[in-house]
Amino acid sequence: MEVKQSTCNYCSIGCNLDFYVEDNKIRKIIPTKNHTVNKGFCCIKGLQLNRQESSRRLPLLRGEDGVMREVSWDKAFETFSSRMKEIQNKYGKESVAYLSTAQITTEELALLGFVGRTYMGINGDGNTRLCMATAAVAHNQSFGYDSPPYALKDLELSDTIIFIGANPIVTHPVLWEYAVRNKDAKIISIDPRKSETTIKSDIWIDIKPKSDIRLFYTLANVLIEKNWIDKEYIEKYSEDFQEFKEHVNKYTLDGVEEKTGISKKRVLELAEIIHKGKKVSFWWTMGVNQGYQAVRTAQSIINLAVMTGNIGREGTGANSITGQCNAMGSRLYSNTTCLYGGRNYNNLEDRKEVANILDIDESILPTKPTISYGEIIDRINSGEIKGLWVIATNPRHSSSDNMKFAKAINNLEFLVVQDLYDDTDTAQHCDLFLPSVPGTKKQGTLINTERRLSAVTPVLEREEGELSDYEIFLGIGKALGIEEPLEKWNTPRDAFELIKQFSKGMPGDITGVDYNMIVNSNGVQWPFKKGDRLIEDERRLFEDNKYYTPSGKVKFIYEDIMEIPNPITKEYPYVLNTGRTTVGQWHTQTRTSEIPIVEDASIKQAHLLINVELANQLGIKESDKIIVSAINGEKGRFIAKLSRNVKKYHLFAPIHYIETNALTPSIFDTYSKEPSYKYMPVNIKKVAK
Amino acid sequence: MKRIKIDRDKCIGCLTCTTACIISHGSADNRSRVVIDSYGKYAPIFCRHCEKPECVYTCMTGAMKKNQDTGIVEYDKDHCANCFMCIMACPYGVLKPDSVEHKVIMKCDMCQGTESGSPSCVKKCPMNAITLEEV
Amino acid sequence: MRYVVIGSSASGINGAKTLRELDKDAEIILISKDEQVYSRCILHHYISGIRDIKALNFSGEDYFEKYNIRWINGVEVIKLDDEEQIIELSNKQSIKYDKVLIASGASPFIPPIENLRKANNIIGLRNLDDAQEIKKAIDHIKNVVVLGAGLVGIDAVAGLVDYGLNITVVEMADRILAMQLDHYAASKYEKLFNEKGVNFKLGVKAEKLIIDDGNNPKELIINTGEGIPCDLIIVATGVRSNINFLKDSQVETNKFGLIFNAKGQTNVENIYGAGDVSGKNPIWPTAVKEGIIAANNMAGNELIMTDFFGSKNTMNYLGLATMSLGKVILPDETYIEEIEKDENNYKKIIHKDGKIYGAIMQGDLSYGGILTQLIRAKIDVSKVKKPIFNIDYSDFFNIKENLEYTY
Repeated sequence: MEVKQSTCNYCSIGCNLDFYVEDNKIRKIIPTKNHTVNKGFCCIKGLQLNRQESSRRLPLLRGEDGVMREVSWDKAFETFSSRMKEIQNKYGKESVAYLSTAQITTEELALLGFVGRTYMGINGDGNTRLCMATAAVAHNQSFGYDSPPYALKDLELSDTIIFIGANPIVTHPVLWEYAVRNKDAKIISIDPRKSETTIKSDIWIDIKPKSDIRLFYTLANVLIEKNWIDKEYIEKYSEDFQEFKEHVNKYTLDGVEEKTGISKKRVLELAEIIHKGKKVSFWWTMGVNQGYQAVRTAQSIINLAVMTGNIGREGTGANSITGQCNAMGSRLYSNTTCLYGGRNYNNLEDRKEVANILDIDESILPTKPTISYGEIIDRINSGEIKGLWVIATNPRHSSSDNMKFAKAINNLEFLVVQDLYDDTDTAQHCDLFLPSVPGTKKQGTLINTERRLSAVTPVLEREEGELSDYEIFLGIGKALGIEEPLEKWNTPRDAFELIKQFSKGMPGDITGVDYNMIVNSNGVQWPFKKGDRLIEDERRLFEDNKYYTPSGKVKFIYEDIMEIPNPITKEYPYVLNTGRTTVGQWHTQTRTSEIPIVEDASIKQAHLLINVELANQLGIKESDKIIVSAINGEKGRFIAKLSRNVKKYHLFAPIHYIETNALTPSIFDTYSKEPSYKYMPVNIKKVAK
Repeated sequence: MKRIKIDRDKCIGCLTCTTACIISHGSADNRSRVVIDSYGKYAPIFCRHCEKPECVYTCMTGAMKKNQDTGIVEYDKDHCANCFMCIMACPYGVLKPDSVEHKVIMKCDMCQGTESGSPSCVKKCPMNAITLEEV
Repeated sequence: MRYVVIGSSASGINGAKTLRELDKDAEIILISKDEQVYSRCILHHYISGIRDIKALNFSGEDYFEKYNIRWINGVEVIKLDDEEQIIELSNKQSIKYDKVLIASGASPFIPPIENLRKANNIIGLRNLDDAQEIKKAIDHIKNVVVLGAGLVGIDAVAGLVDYGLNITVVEMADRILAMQLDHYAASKYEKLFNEKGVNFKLGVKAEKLIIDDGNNPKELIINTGEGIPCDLIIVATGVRSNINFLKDSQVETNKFGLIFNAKGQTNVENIYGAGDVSGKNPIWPTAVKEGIIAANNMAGNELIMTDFFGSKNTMNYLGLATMSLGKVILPDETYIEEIEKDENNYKKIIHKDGKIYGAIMQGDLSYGGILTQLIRAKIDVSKVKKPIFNIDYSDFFNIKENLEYTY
């Protein structure tokens, strides 16, 4: 049996797995022993990657009778090109857009950004907008570059670990293993829900929903007042601290309990724990990212780390845990929100450099970041966008306020879905379906949460007619008439070389990474410049205290706390929070519903966690059917799951069911445009028998 | 003997035990599983190494044996005739054949003979829902 | 105390072992006609050549030393004197017993078909000798008829299928494995065996065997008038219990075999019975349990057989596995039949008023044991809010103090 090492393409940890292959079939999967990242362990999703199979070989085209029929790839590419061009000719260039993903390789994302953004001249946003945009913007503004500073190993080295809006036991089990290996650290979890991680933490800060920014500003104020700050660090390596200090001055301990639910005493205790910790690390994820004031909340965490000198040293950091396997690749190399490599669309030198690398006229490069995911949907509904290309994502299910996307589908003249599966909630409605292959049949690179480049190796050979996303992009590009410039993109390896060139001179410089270095290895973290020698496998940023801002200093960024834009009302008295509840289910379940082990342990219908007392009060019993109506006007049918882990007036719904995001609002963070998935006023009613 | 104690209320259905089981045995398959009942509550289904093991009684080759010293119901794949009578016999539906060759019974061995030495599922459970207890 | 156990198969071996576990000091003697300990349920693996004699042993190689049991093998019990408590053996030896477990099993029944009983090469697949004889015959024969398509008959076919013989199965029922399978499940095997060149004559009766001057079989005539060439006939039409040695005793038997109760007791004190000798055709696990239960009661540890669910079996031929439980054909319209199938898998459950009465699983048998218990214990499944094919233990989850499961 042949053994091939590759990288898991579910979450951002980037576990490496050994695939045992025989007769072009995966016989078993064993996590790569002694791999730096996952150390011979993984979660059930990765272990069952053999379940991922293409749904079909040939594209499907909807006929005039509404029936989908198989067509050749040539016909599909030609149809794509002619229909999209027709729409662009009729309604203008930007009447076409794409929604993509962080579930494909960096090389594929780069090529998509080339064909779509550069050549078609259209807007195209990734589903990264739905999870990581906040962290990206926060990093860019505070650090000067989208640069999560840590190595996962920092979890093992901390003496104080603070999780904020993060539930790694469920979302990142392998990351949690790092914390488990650290037997001495005090673990604190800040979460409005008694999540699995809070149960296993030493301290649960049971904060009111969306009041984390208040808590962190108050903490900052307390730390300053007590003089529990690292003055030297602040002075030497940061800017705007003075203004920040004045800003947080108003967030005193008085009133903190009313706003956050956390008593003065407990806030003080927390401040003291941070102060006493020699190596304090802060780890946040979707609870922070998916909010209406998310960027500033993330930055309030960064501010705490910086002011206490808990950054750039082992066991420290303000650390954003990434969601999807290649959110990091998408953020830097998809040519959507920034020019390749984290460059600036307005920077003439950047433009020139990228144009040179690509051997194209600089003028055809996009001149601005894409409009956001939400805006693309809005523009479909307003009639400005008529053609949509969806790649490896499922917006009918995953977009916030997802009934808006349901409406948008009807407004589209041409919907193309490119995916592994032809039966996703989105693919069911498309006019053209382009079947792609699973990650096990691809070559490319993923970049994990700690900036690690890791190779995706084709463990299976593609069968006749099967095309990877990369090849589909190439096919579309050629059909669109891009000729010579595509010659630089012949293979994913070509794309990798281009990506390296894009990175040159940037903080994420990877010019020193030979592709072979990331194959059958521990991968390589960025930065890794030409001439660098790989001495340490687990590196963190800012050990030299130099940041990527023009001044070289980290910036204190803050603003006044916003009022909740959609507060609860008498009519909608409960707060609905959303998130993941199982390790096995992934996002919209398109990939994991075919894993029997996962299905056996998954509830089939949409369900809602409801506090036992509230349920009693409302006469709701275990597994009763309930109708949830939300302030956005949508309703959904759920099964009630009685729980002691949600507070009395809070509700929690797993994101794996399409009903959930019908209820989430069209409210976005001001800077990141990431949707606010975690706070929705709703009411519930038992369905009469 | 020792058995794996199951605290159903602590189980979060994360399948870390299943994962650990597969990895510990370098296998394509799981030897224990987690399912949900009609109310969506998790039920970890683990071999109990019964005092009166139906799988042993039904085994016509002697491949399935109760070790009187350890209490473990041991399975010898080399002696097994893959008649699958043990699958039929287990009253709790714990057993199944392997998914690759459809020959070997996927039977908990308490990780005896694996690198782990003692149940890997217990070691990895993040919620301490399963623990090893003397009975 | 001297215990004597007659028979070295499922009941005897487990019975003797249990006696030793319960009584460290007693003398235990096991008498068997068989010279080896072997599992008769896997003799077809011996025929096919995937197992040698050693690999047929189900007791463990060091069984007799480990449990300190004296084994008198290769001899037959010819008489049991229940008054003197003496057993007479074919080697003229007499053995006194304090308590005896009769687990002497059964022998193939050769039906009264003309010439069948006097012909050569008529073998019932029951004992290792039979299997050895069949194996020896393979080299110099071409045509084999298997009479009876029950489990033993199909086992025989499975054992012979790769030898390039011309095999014909003759069966009265309209399908093979009629006791275990419905038409659909049986047809899957018929097809697989067909592809391997096996012929099936179903719904027919054997009427006469044509033999040559040397009494060698030539042709089996069936009721359609057709003649099936044969050099060897494997008879798998049933068994008769081995109770001849009891005929001068007061031990009660009936037309099937030895009569014993749920504790394994016969009508005569100190005489116990277990396994196939009852003539009830028990399956392996029933025989094992009867052996263990009888041994317990012999040793003064009261134990009662409670598992009377015997109509269950699994089979695994040509890579296709099947589990058969209880009623596999709809008894009447008050029962409900549910079927789920795809190319490789077939599942059928027969239920009524919330209880499951029978099931077939073909293909993937994973976790199928749950159905055995639901049928055996007549457990009401109407509270389970899941598709019937997805029922698992979760809805009955219950843990005893010793951490074992229970219902």
